[in-house]
Amino acid sequence: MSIDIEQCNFQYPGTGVGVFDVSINAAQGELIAVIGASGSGKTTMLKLVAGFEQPDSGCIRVNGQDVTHVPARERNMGVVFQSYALFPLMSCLDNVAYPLKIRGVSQAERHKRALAMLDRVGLGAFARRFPGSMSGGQQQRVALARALVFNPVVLLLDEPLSALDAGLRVEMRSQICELQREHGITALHVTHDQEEALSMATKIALMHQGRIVQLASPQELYDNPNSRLVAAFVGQANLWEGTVTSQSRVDVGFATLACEIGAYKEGAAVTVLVRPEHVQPLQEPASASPGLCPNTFRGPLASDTFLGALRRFELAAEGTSARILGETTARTPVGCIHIDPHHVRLLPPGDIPLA
Amino acid sequence: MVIGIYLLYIFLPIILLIVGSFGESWTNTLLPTGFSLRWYLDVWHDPSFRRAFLMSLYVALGTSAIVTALTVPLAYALTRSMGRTATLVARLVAVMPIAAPPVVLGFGYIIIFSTDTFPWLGTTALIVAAHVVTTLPYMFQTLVADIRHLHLDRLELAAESLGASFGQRFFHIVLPSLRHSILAGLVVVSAISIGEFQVTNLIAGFLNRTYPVVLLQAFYGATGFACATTVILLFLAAIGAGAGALTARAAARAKESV
Repeated sequence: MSIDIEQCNFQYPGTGVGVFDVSINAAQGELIAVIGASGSGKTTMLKLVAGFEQPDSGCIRVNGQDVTHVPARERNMGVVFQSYALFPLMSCLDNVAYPLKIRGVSQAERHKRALAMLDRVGLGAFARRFPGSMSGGQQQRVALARALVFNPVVLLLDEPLSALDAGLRVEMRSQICELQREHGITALHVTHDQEEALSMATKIALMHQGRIVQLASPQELYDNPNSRLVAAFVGQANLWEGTVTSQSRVDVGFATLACEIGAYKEGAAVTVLVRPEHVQPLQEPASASPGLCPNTFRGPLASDTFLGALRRFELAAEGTSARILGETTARTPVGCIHIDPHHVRLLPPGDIPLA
Repeated sequence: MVIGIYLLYIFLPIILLIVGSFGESWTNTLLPTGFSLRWYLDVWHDPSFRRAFLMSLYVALGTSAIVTALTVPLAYALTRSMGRTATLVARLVAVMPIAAPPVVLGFGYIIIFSTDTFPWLGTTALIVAAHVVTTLPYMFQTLVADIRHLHLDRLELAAESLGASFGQRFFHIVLPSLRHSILAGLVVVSAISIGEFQVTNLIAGFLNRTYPVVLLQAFYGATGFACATTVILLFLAAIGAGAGALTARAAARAKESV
C-alpha cells in the first residue's frame, strides 16, 4: 500500500528539534530510504509514521486513508528496531507468533505461520531458541520475521543494520530487499549509512535539521545532487566554490575548468562537483606541455590509500594549494590527472538549496 | 583480616545462640553444660509462641502480597513518565525508611488509631499496613532499577507496534520480565516483615503479637528457652529468604538451559 506523508510538522516540546514540512510519497512496493546525520530528524519521522508520536500539523495517509490520529497499535505496521527489541522471555517462535496471538489467531495456525516465516528468513531450526542465545544478525532476522508475519500495511525499518558488523550488514541488505519485494510491501528505511541507502532504496530522502533537502532516486541523488550538502553526504566528492566565466568555463580559484554550464549564466556563483571516479589518471603526456590541456593537472600525491578493488588518492596540483581526490583501479604511479568536462557538475552555491 | 573480624562479629552470637539452645543449663559459665532438646519442646508446647509463629507467617504473607500489588504498578508508572515530579516522588519513597524511624511511625499510629474515628489499634490489619509502609521502599527501589536496566520501554514500543494493548503489554511483557526482580524484592520484604519488632511492638494487640514481640518475653525466663526461641526466629527468616533466593535461581537456570 502507498504511504503519503504530507506537510508534517513535529517539534519536541521545549526544543527546536523535530521535523518541519516533511512530505514523502511512497507508491506501493517502493522502498524509501531516509538518510541524514544523527539528529537530522529521520527517526522522528519514522516515529510519526509508526504512530509513536503525533504530528503537530500535517497528515499521514496509508493507501489514501488518513491515519494521523490512529493509535500505533491499530496502524498494522511492521516495525524493525535498531535494538531488535525481541521479547527475551519468549522463544523465537513465540516472538514471531506474538502479533498473531494479539490478533486472535489460533495457536496451531499461528505457530504454523510463524514457523513458515522463520523458515523464510533461514531460521526454522532456531524456532525453540531464545533470543539471548542468538547472534545479532539472527536476532535481527527474527525481528524482521516478526514484523512481516502479520502482513502489515507497511514495513518501517529503524536503522536495523547499524548494530551488525560490516559483512553481515551487506548480506542482510539483500535479504531485506528480497523479503520486501516478495511481500510487495512498501517500506520506509531509516539509516545513517548512505551506501546502504544507495544499494537498497528506490528513492532516497536526505534530511538535514528536520527538513528534507532532496528526495530522489539513488542515481539522481548521486549524479545530480541539488546542493553541496547532498553531494558531500552521498559518496565521495571534490567540491569547490567557483564562478562561471564563459559558456564553457568555470573558475574554481586554483584553475579554470572546462565544463558544461547548463542553465547557469556567466558570472553566476556556483559549487563545482567532481566525483573522484571521474578524476582519470593519465600516462605522462610526453608531447603536450602542462597548462595547454584544460582540466589536466600534474603533481605529487598527497595521499594514496589502497582499498582493495579501488585505490583512492589525493593529487596536490602543481603550483596551487588544491588537492584533487581521485579513484582508480590502476596500480601504476599517478602523476597527472584529467577531468572530463562532461563530468564537471555545477550546483547552486552555498550549503542548502534555496526553497 | 578485617573481613575475618567482621564475620566473627556477626556469626559468634548466632553460634552461641545455637549452642545455648541445646544446652541443659547455662549460668555464669562460658559455655552451657549438658545436652537437651527440652527448650525447643517447651517453645512448641507454649501456645503464645505457636500463635505468634503463625501470626508472623500470616503477616509476612499479607505484607508480601500487598507490597507486590502496590509497588509493581507504582514503579512501572513512575519509570514510564520519568518527569521531574515523578523522579522526586521516587526519591522520596526511596529515602522514606531512613528519614522516618520506625519508633516515630509507631507512636504516630498509636495517636491516630486510638481515636474514636479510627479505633483500629491492635488489629492485625494495622500490623500488616505498618509492615507494608516499612518494606515498600525496598521493593520499589529494586523494581525501578531493574525496569530501567531491562529497557522495558523498547520492548513495549515493539509490542505496541505489533498491536498489543496496554493490558496485553503489561501482562505479556512487563510482568514476566520483572519476575526475578519481584522475587528478589520479596526476599527482602518477607525477611524484614518477619524480623520487624519496633513498630509491631507498639501497635500489636495481645492476641496478634508477632514472633519477635513475643520473643522479648522469653528473655525474662531461662537462658536456654530464650536461645531456642531466637534460633527459631532465625530459622523462620532464613526460610523466607532462602525460599526466595532458590526460586529466583531456579528460574534463572531454567531460562539459561533452554
